[in-house]
Amino acid sequence: MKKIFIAFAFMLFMVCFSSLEIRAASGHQGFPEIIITGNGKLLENMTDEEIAAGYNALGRRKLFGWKHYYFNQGVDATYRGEIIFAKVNRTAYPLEINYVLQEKEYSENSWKVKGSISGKIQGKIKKSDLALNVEGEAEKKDTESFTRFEETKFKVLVEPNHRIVLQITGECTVTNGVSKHYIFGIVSKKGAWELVEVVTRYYELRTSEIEE
Amino acid sequence: MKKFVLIFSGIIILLGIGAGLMLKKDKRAVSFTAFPQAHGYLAPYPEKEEIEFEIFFNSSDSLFTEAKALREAWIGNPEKEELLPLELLEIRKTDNRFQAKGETFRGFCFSFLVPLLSEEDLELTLPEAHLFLLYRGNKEISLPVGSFAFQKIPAFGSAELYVTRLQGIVNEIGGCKTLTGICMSFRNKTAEEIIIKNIEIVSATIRGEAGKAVLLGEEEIPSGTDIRELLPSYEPFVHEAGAASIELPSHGEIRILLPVKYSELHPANRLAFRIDYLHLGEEKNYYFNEFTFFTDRRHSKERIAALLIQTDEDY
Repeated sequence: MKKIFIAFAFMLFMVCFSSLEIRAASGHQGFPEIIITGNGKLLENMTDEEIAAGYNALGRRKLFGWKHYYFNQGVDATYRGEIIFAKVNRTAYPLEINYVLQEKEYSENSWKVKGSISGKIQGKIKKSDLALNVEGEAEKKDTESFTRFEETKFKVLVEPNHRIVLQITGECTVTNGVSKHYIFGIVSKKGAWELVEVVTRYYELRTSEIEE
Repeated sequence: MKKFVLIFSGIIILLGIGAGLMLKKDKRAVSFTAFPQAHGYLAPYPEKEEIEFEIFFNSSDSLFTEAKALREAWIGNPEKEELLPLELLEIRKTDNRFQAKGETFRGFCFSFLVPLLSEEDLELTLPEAHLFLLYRGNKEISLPVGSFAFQKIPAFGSAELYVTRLQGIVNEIGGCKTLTGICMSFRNKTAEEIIIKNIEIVSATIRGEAGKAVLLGEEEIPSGTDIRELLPSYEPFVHEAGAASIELPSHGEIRILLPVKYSELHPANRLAFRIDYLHLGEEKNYYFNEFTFFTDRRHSKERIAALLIQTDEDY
């Protein structure tokens, strides 16, 4: 009885934990809103039928390893990020803010997974599979990407009784799909996943007066 | 005695091999480059300004990236007629990399201090700027980094005016993303009218066209919006000089779009600016420090192909 109770409590904890992990409307932490600019849908907006159609499209089973079906491969999207910095000056004098945003502190990529595949699917999906597809897309756009982890610094004066806020919006690409993993032709894991890769970040500074 | 000679000979041979390997390492050809950009900095009279350049090398452990090996550094024009001495703070490896000519180039951020202090306005404007790095053994490299502007100013901010909102309009010009406009809101802190006469961008190759600025409402404008949707006549390389006269009523607030124009395409994601305004008939300035409007991870093949990659065969 005690064992059942512990198992039940653990399951309940896992359910609560996984639902806490992703709270944003887009399903991606740090990205409250993602809008795909062309054709395509976020996993969050797909119906169970659409996801099931993805699994069906995987076709014949494999003896060993992963099989993937991509709904979208590196489609362009825009996002609204979180407020990354906010400061209130309640003093009677202007306050100089010296702010450094280490880009590593802010998500470059966001993975979302559903189903029995692990949260570390990014390591388990063959890098070559994803790289090939994403590279193919990049080739089409005649662009080449490389990671930028540069620091963003700014010095600004905040007036007395004012609040200053720095918000990020930007452009990203979305790749999503479903995957199944087979052992001796038997499905050992399956799930839907989505990768959001940030391409551009736009910073917007806003100040407003606060009630005294 | 024979043993001692043998051991001694062995040590000498090992030292010889070690020295040979070290010399061989130093003799490697190292290639390097930097993305030309419009660099612009403001610094109050008593402050030392920190400036940075990202340089890409095809080798991660060459002497060029050793802080101890760097003797002196300057920023100046290619002829070295105007030079600003720099003090090295650090050389830090970044996570940036790209492929060119079949090789991987990795980024190193060179941070410097501009030690120049002053008691009056000073200005250095270099439309074509080179970073000169002098290493031990009098080895010097000269790296084109785009354009460079540096100004010593009395102070930031203003007693009468306040920037309340700041956002860039970013579009592609010639295959690279750069600022084409700045949406900015101002608030008049005084009970008198203020007239904005000019908005000058701190740059040797970028100008703000305050005379062509348009008034905006409070609507949300995505930063990736094509500037021609907001300013149909926008041409990045055509600059029309013209005085502005933007009126800010007593305690009022306005939002404008400032067109950003280029004399040379050195892209910019970070800009500082000066606002010239009239208050009670007196001409005043408001300096706003560098603000990063965007960061981008995508670089076009066209831009990478246009990079000037230098190779030093002697090092």
